[in-house]
Amino acid sequence: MKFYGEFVGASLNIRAYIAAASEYLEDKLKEGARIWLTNVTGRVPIWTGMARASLIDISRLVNGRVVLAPLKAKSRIPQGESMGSARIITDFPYFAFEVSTLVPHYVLQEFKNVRHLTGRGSPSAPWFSFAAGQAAFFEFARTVQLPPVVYDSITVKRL
Amino acid sequence: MADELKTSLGFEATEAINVLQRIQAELDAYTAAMRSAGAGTAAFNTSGGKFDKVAASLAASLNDLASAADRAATKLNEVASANRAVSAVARAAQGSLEARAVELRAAQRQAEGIMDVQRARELGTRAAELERQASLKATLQKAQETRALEAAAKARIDPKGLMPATGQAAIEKTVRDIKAANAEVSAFAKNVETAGKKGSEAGRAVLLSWQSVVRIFAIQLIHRAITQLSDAFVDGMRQAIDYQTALAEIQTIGDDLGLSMQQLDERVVAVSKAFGQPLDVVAEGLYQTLSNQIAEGSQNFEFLATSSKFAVAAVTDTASSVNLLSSALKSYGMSSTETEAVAGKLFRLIDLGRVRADEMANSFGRVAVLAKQAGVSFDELLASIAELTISGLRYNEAYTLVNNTILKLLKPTEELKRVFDRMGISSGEAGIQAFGFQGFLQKLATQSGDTATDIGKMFNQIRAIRGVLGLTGSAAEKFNDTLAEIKQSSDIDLQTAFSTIFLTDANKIKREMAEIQALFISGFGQEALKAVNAVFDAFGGGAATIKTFGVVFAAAAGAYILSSTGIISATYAMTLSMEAFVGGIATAQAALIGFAATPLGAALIIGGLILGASAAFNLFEDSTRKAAEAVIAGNNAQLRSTILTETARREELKKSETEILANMQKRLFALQAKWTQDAKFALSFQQTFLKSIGQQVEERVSLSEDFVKRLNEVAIDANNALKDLDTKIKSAALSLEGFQFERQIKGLDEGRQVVAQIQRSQELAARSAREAAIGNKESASELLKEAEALAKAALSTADTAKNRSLELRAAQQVQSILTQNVQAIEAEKRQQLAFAKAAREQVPDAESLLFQLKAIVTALEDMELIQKGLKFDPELKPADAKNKATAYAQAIQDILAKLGTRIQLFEKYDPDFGPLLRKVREKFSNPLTGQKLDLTNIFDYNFGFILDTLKKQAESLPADQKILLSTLFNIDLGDPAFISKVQAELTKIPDIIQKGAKATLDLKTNLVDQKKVTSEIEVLTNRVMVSARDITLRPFAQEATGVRGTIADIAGIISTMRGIIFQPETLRQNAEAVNNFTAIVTRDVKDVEKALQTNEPANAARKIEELQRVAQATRPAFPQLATQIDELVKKLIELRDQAKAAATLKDAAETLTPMEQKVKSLGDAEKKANEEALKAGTSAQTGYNQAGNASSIFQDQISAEIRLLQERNQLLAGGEMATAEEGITARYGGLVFRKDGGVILDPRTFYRALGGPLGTDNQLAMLTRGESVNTVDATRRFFPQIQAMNAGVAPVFRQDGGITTTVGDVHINVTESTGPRETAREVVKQFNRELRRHTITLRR
Repeated sequence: MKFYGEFVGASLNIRAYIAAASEYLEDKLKEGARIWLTNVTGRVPIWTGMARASLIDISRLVNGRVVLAPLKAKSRIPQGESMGSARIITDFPYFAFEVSTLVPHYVLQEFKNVRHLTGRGSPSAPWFSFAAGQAAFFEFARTVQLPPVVYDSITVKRL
Repeated sequence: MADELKTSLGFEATEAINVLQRIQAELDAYTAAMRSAGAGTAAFNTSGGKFDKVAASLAASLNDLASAADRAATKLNEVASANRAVSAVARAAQGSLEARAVELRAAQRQAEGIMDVQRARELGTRAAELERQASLKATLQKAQETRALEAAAKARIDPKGLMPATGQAAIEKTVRDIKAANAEVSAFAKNVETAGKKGSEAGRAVLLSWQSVVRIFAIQLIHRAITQLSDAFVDGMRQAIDYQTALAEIQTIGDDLGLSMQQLDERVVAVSKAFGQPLDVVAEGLYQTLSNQIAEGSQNFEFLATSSKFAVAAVTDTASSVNLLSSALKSYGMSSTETEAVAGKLFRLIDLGRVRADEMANSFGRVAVLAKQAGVSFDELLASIAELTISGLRYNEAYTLVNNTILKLLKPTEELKRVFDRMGISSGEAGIQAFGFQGFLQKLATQSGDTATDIGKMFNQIRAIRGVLGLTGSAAEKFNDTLAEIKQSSDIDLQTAFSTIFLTDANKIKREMAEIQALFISGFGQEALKAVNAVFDAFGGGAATIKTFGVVFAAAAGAYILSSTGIISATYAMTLSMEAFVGGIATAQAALIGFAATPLGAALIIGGLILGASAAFNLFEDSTRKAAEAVIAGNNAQLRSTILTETARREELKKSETEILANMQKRLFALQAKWTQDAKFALSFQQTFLKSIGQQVEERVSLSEDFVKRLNEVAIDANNALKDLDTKIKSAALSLEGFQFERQIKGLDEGRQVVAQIQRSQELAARSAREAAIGNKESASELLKEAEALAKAALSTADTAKNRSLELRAAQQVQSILTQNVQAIEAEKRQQLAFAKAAREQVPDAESLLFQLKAIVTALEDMELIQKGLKFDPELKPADAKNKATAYAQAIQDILAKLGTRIQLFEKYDPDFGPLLRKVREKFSNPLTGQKLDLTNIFDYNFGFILDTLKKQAESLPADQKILLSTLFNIDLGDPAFISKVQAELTKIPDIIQKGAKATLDLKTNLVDQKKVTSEIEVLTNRVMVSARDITLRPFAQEATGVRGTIADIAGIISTMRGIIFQPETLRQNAEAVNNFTAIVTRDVKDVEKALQTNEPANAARKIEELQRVAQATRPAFPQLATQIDELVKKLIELRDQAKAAATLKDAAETLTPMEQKVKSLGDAEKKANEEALKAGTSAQTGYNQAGNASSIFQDQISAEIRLLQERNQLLAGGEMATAEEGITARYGGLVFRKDGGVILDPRTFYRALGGPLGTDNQLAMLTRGESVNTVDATRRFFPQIQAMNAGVAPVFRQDGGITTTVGDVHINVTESTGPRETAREVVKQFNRELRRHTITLRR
């Protein structure tokens, strides 16, 4: 009395998956960053070229678009650009972008409407542009799915 | 302290990779489990092969067992058949012999007639007696032997009595059981034999081997039995001669026995049977007994019996035993009654020592005699022999040693004699008597010093020396033990040993053989001798007889040879030989006729023939019976042995089989458990997968739900849109109805119009109520408004018509509608209250929470004011206020969390707390996300706003002021080099210093004076407002222009309207014409009526005709009139609307004037401010330019200083700078500049930014622009002032144009009246003076 059989098991090619997932998630991260940028710049008035210019860094990194058309003081665009910084982290499993701006009137009016104090400033403040960008990014991130998993086969004989 | 807006967003796939790795681990584990299962299966397959082999072997063995059982049964049947055949042959032979006996009796009777009757009777009686004895003897012996054989066989085969009763039936039952077992086993074997081909082959080999073994064993057994029988038969004749001779010899010296030859024979046979000793040996023993003269009379047989018993126990023959015992008894003068005791001691000697009885038989007497003479006791003698043989000597050597030792004691050497003398012993005998044999030897050895040399001197003979040495010294203790055991021995030991040996199978066989031999020698042999002698005598001697019977004996010999093929054949051959013998006798009978002619010859012949025939018959019968019984017993024994062996083998196989099955069962259970575990694991794995799939499905469902939710929202939006459209449609329909209604009532008189309006108003009010009832508030409200408008129109119309009744009715309708409106509003209010109540009920502590909220918000607002410095609380610092406010805000957020989603209800419906909640929620939560805001950031921003304003102000300062600021706050005033630079600088640009001092003081003032800050903020705010005018006033001016145009338009309209109002001649004329016409018609109608009433139809007809004529004449005029009326109404409507717009514009125009004035004043102020700013700007520009120049110079100097410092640092750094470190472009002081643009701090050395390596600056500092750093000395010296400044305490201001700054005890007064240069000089002079006074020092 003897038994014979064959079993085909499954195995994951995690290395290949990580490579594929990294490429995929990096693309998605940039796409999300562009969405973030669109929503952020949508809340920052166009006259503040300095504030918008501080987002140029992230725009370049993710191939995004920032419209700079200040009503006046165009000379502050380089200053604003220098006061903004951005970087992208693509170290699997972490994929993130980081944006920072030191433009004072951006920082101030992001959370505060100062017109009642200064008599000037953006009527649309507080802008909450980063919050809007964050919400848009979250909305986008919910649609991001990981790429499908590929299984390799393992054969066990003499079963 | 720069504020930063920063975010970091992204994905993290940690959980995903964890899940994947977990799945991978599970997959690996599953694969490993399956691999293990595979290995387990392979192992099972391997063990299954072993099982197959074992099962096959078992099957083969069981087949062998079955075959053996079949063969045993067959053999048994064959034996039974042979037995029956033997019985038949025996019966036939018996019948033949009986017939022959009858013939002999007949011959006897014939002889009686011939011979002496008396003699014949005697012979007859003798023959009858012989027959009876033979019969009885045969019967008795048969019974005894059968029982003995059965008992022996049973004891040997079945010692535990497990076998069933003997007999054919029992054996057959056993065979049947075996067959039944075989059938069961065959059934089992059949199940496993499919895989047992190789096993079967091996089994067949075993079967063949087994058959060979059985056959060989059977042949050997039969051959041995026949050999023994034939030997007994053949030797019987020869030994019978010897035995008879021995008996004759015994009788020659055994007169005192008083026994005849036969009696002697019987006694000897009895002893032989009793102890299994051969007859000749027993006869020899008896002869020796008699010869040794041990006993007298019958005691000789007792001694013989004891000797025989000793012979059995000591495994020797009776003769040797007789010699040994008799020599012992005789040597020590003991009687035959002590034979058993002596035999017991001798047996103990044999037992303890290394000696046999036959070795001692012929020599023991010599040493025993000597020992007796020397006084050595019998026990000591035996112990000595035993001790010496135990030490490794053979008996002969031991005997010689003891003998020589005793001899030397009896005949001592000179040396020994001297020893005797020293011991006070006269002789060896005396010494032995005094100390005992061994004790005396030990004394002697001790006297001689226990050395071999000294003992040798004493005994002077090597064998004596060895004897002494073997019994003394270390052997003394053993000697004593042996002696004690011999003393304690008795005949019981002998009896025990005898019983042990006597009951052995070997001895039993030996006794059987002796008995058989005795039969031939004592019974058949003696009688045969007589017959043979008679025959020899009859045939003239032995040679003649052999010649006569040679053929017969040859045939008998041939039959005997053939008998080696089997016992049955042997028996049959034996029968044939006897028949041949009888036949030979018959043949010889004719030869005897002549001899029988004489009476004596006849009698001898007949007597010899009878005796020979009887003896031959008895021998035949015994031999046949014994042969048959031996065969049966042998077969039974073989069968039982086979059965037992096979049963044991079967039990072993069964046990092995059970163990194998148990092991297999265990293995199967283990595999089953493992497979079950694997299955569970697989199931769990599948469940995990399914769960994962379930999660995915849930996600899909969730997405679907979201989708449905969105659809629902879209549907709701669509529904709302539909509702709006519905409302619009209803509104449009209502407008259409209104228009149609207007059209309908247009031609009616006022009364009817009023009635119609009231009715429609009522109808609309009812519809409004219905709409309100079904929740369409907007529609209801619109209908009610329309109804109200209609009711008011009806009231107006009734008023115009001066119809009081209708006016009252319309007024009631208006009142009713207003009441309905109020009711609707109240219902709305009740509903709101109900909602609020419901909300409060949903949150039991809502009201309490809301009051708490209100109180906290109030307190928080105070904190904010305090923190911003807008409110002063002596007990609360701004920083504490911030912390407290943070706590308050946290509490507010907690309350909001407790209220939860009910907040919206309260906001919407609660008139008290709704605004508060809105305010709080907007302030403390992100309006986009609804999440909590970081309160710290909020307050930081609030607080930072002020600082930011100040910073901006500072940043907006001219460059020279910035330089001065940094100079004043960052430069070490005690550095002489710097002082010289400063002095030079001050000398060059005193005006800059003046401005810088002023700006510095202004900044300090701004920093420390909150009020000033506030006013500065106000100034800034005003500036912002001025700037804002560009944005706000310009469009407002445009709007004002538009308004002006509109006003002009309105003026035109008003003018037109006035024209319409004040120049309606045509209309009035028309109206008058209409009135006239109406009056005429009315009059004519009345005339007609009057004519009809007065029965003046002609007049009436005439009037009617006039009326008709007038009507026909006026009919074309009506449409024109109607058109005019329409146009008039249209214009009136336009006028009404324009009047409304005009009124609005009028109101706006009224407000416009002050605004214009304000704008104008603002413009003037702005202009003035601009002019002032321009002035200040010019002045500032001048100062700025000067400062710029100075700054440039100063910066150049600083750059030069830095270069010097760099060079010095390079020199100090030495080789380090020369080393081109990778990634580092330059190293200046404590800063290292990297190629990539970064800056790192070199931890090894810190240098001041503008000074030398002063060695104490080891704290890193990052400053915000405008912040200052004080020197250590300055900080130490002015720490209270710095604290005061940081705490916002203002310095003292003087009003004389100058400022005084209190810095310790140093007072520097500067007057600006003489210009900057003078001021600088004054300052320097003051400095120098104070330095000379040593009230200040510029060194550190």
